[in-house]
Amino acid sequence: MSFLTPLFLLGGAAIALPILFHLIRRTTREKVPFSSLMFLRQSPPRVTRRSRLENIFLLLLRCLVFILLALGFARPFLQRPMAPYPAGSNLRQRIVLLDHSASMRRSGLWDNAQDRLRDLLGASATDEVALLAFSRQVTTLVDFEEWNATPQSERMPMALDRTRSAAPGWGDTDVAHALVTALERLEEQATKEVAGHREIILLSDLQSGAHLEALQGMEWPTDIHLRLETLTPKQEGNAGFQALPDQPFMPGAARDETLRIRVQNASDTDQDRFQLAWKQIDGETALGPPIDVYVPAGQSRVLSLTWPSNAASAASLVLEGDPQDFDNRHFLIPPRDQTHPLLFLGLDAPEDPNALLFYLTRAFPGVGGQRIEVVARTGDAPFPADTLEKARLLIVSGSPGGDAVDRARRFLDAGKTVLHVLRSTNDAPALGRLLGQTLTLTEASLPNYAMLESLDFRHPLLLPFADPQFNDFTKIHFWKVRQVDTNGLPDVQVVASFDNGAPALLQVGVGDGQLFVLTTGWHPADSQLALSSKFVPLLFAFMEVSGSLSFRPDHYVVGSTVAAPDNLQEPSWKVRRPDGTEVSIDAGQPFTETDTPGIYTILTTPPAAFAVNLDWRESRTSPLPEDTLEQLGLPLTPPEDPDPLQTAAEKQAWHATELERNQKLWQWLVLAALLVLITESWVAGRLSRAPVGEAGG
Amino acid sequence: MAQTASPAPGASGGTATAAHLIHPQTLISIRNLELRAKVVVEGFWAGLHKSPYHGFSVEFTEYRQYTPGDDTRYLDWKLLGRSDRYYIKKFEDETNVRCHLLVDNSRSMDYGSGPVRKTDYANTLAATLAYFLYLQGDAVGLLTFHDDIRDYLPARHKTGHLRHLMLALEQPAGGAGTDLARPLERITELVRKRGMMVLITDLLAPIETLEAHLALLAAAGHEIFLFQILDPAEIDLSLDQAALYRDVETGRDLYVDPQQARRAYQERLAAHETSVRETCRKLDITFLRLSTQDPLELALFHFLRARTQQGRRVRRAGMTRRA
Repeated sequence: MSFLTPLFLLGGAAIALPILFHLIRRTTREKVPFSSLMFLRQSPPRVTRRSRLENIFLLLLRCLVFILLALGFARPFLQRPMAPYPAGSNLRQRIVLLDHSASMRRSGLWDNAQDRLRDLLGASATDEVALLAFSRQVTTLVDFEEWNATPQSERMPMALDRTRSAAPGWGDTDVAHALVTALERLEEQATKEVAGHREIILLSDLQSGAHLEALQGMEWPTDIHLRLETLTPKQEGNAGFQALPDQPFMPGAARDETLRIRVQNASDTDQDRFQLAWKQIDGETALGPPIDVYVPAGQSRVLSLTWPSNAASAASLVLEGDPQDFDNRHFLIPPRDQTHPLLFLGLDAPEDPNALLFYLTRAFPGVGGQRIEVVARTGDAPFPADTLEKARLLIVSGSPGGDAVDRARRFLDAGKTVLHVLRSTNDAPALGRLLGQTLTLTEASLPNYAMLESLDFRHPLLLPFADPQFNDFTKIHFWKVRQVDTNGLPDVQVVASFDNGAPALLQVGVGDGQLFVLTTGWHPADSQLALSSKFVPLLFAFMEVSGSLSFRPDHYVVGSTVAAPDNLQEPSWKVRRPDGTEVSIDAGQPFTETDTPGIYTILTTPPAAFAVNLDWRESRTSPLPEDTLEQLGLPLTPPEDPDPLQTAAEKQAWHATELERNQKLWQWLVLAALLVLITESWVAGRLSRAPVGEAGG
Repeated sequence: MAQTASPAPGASGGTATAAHLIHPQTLISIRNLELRAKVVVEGFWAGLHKSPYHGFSVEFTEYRQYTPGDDTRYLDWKLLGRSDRYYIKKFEDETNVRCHLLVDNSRSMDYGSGPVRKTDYANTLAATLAYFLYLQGDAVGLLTFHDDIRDYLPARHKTGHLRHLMLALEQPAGGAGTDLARPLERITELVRKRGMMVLITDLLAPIETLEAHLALLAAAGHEIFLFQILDPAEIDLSLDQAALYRDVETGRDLYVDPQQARRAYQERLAAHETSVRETCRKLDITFLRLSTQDPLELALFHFLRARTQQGRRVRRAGMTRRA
C-alpha cells in the first residue's frame, strides 16, 4: 500500500494522547460544595500502586480512531499498473479567437498577434483547434473538422496562412459575441469524448471599448476555461472623435450650421494637442484651416464645427496629431432637408385660435433633421402636384366646400389616409360622400362635458399611449360631440369612445385608404384636446400610421446593414462603394458590405449617399482591466499553461493521484473511524453510568 | 466563668430523658418556624416540671417606694389604703431583659451533610429562644448578618413583633462570606442599654478580631452567649469521597482526600475551638458548641442553666457587695 500524502501518517502519533489520558488516574470532575475550606489543605494525588491502564477496550477504540483518521488523511492506494488512457483522451479542445478589429491596426499589434498565434498553435499541434477571427462578426478561419483532417505537420502553416487573409479590418470589437460563438462551437463539439480540458484563447488587445454587454448574466460552463492573451501595442495612447450621434444636424440646418464633435483622448498618452481639419473625401484636399483642439489625457472635449462652405456633397474630418491613425478620419454627409407634407382642407383661418388649423401649424417643431410642413387649402384651391404626390395624410376640417370632399375621396382611393374632423352636424353630407353612403349626425347631449372612456390601446394610433404612465385621458374634457350612427357602416372600427358611449374616433376602410373620423374638434370651442399633452403625440401617431414619416439615416458604422430604398421599382439596386466598385443587391435585401469607412452611394435617381464610419467605441483603446472579465463571471486561467506531465516524477505523481482517486480508500477509512467513534461513545456512555471509580480515562 | 457545653445527642445535662427530646430532623420537618419554636418551648416546659431546676424564672416582682415622677398608674392603691404608704407595684409582665439574637446567615450556614442544614438549626434555635423570652415578657431583638448586616429588628415586646422576627429568620442564607466583626461593631453602636446578646454562628471565619469585638460588647455590660453550630461532617470531616471540594463562600476549589486530611482538619478545628473557648473564658462569655444533630431542648436547657448560674453569680456578687 502506498500513500499519496504520507506526512499525515505522523498524525498517528496522536494515539499517545488517549494512552496518556488513560494512564493518568482520573480525579473527579465533580465539585462537591463544602461550607468552608479554612481548615483544609490540598491533598496530594493519591499514589496508587496500580499504574496499569484502565479500560483497555476503550483505549483501544480511541487509538483505533486516531490510526484510522491518520491513514485516511494519508490518502492510501494500492499500487497496480494503471490501464493506459484511451488514445486521444488527453486531447485539449481549443478555440483561438483572433481579434482583427480596427484597433488591431495599431502599430505592431498584428505582428505581435501572429507571433503569439504561432507559439500557441505550435504547442497545440496534437490538440483539436479551431481558429476564429472576430471583430463585429465572427469569421471561421479554421474549424475543428478541417484541423483534424489536416496532417499534424501542416496544421500550423495552414492556420497561419488563413490568418494572413484576415488582416485587421474596420470593425469594432464585439468580444461578447465572439465568446458566445466560440462557446457554441465547443458545445457542438462536446459530443466527442474529451478527457482533457476545453478552453477558449482570446488573442486580443482587449481595449476598453470592447463590447461585453452580452456577457452580463450569462452562465459560463464550468468545464470551459478562458485564457487571455492580451496584446500590447508598441505605442500606447490614442485619440478619437465622433460626430455626436443624437442630433448630428439641427432641423432645417443649412450647410453652414454647426456640427458637434466630441474628441476623446486615452488616459495612457502624453499627447494632448490635436488639430481637426475638414478635407475632401479623398483625405488630401483641405477645405479650410485646421482647428486646434486641446484634450488632456483621459478626457474628452465637445466642440462645434461649421460645415465647410466649399465642401461637396460629402466631406471628411481628419484628426491630426494622433500617431494612431486608424480612427483619425470621419466621413460626413451634409444634412438632408427631410420635409414631410401634411395636407389640410378647410375653411379655417391660420391665425384664428378658435379654428383647427391654428393648432395644427404650431404642433410640429422640427425634430432630428425632419420637418413636417402643413399645407392648408380651402375647398377649391388645389395642392401643388408634387406635394400631393408626396403627402400621405390629409386632414379635412368639417365641410371645406367646393370639390374638396371629392378630392379627399380621391386621396383615399389612392391608398392614403384622411382624417375627417366633424365640426358640426352639418358635416353629415361631407362625411357621407367620403364614405359613399348617406348618414345622419346628431349633436350629443352632454350633461356637462364628456371624457374619453374606452380607448383601444392596441390600435397603432394609441399604441404610444399604452404605457400606464401616459394612458390617462380623463383630464381632457369635451364640450361638443357629434354622434355618428355606426350601424350602417361596414368595416368600421371604434378606436376611442366617450363616456356616454358615443364614438370619438372611428376608422373606416374606404377604397384603398383609411378614413379616420374624429367626432369632435381639438379647438377650445369643442374640447381641450389641442391644449393637452396628448395632442402632439396623437398627430405624430397619425403621421406614423399614414406612413408620412419615412426616415433614412445618413451615417452608419462599419458592419451595419443598410435597408433597401423605399420606392424601389427595379428588381435590384446598386451601391457604389468608396473604392468605386458597384455592388448589386436584390430588391428587398439589405446592403451589408459596409466593411470600410467612406462614402457609399445608392445608385438611384437621384443617387443618395451615406457615410460609413468606424464605431467610436473602437477609439477607446485603453486596456480593459482584467478584473472586468472576472466580474462578469468568466473563469480566467493564467496565460501560461505548462504541460502537467513533463517530468517522470510528475508523471508518477499524476499516476498515483489517479490511482488514489479511482480507489478512494480514504472514504472507507473515514467511515470506519466514524463507526469506531460511535462504538467508543456507546461504551464510554455505559461506563460513565457505572460508578465513578470504575471509569478510567 | 464561661459555661461550655458540647452535648452529644441524647445526652442530657439534667434528668430530661431522651424520650422527651425531639430530634432536629423531625423538628425541621415542621415548616413553620414559629410552630417549631413553640414545639420546643412547650416540650421544654413539659419536661421542666420534672426538672430539679423547677421554679427558675427570670421574672421578678417587687414593691418599690414611690418617688415623685413615677407613673401614678402603677401606685398600689390597696396598699396605700391599708398602710398609707406610697408603693409602686412592679408587674410580672414588665420587661426586664433586652435580648438581642445575632444570627449568622452566611452561605456556609447553608451547608448540611444530612437533612438538617446549619441555617435551619440556627434559625430554629434563635426562634426558640425568642419565643421563650417573649413568653417571659422580655424584649427580643434580631440582627442577621453574613458579610454585611442583613436585617435588624430592635428589641421589643409587643404584639406582632415576634411574627416579624420569625419572618426575618425565615429568609434564606445569602451573602458571600462570614464577617463576624461588622455585626458585633454594629450591635455595640446600636444597643446602648445593658442586655443579653446571643450570637449564633458556625464561627467558620477568621477570629483574629473576634476577641476585641466581643470584649467591647462585654465591656458595655452585656451578657453574652455564643452558640457555635456545626454540621457533624464539619466536626469530624466525615466525608467519604476524595473530590474537588468547593468553598461555598469563597468559591475556591480544593482537591481533598478526607481520609488523608481528617487528622489535620480535626487538629485545626480543635485549635480554632480552643482559641474561641479561651477568648470566651477571658470575657466571661457562655460558649456552646452544638451539632445540628443535637436536640434543641438541650440547647435551651444549657442556655437557661447558664443564665441561672450567671444570675446566681450576680446575686452572690450583690450580696457580697451589700455585706
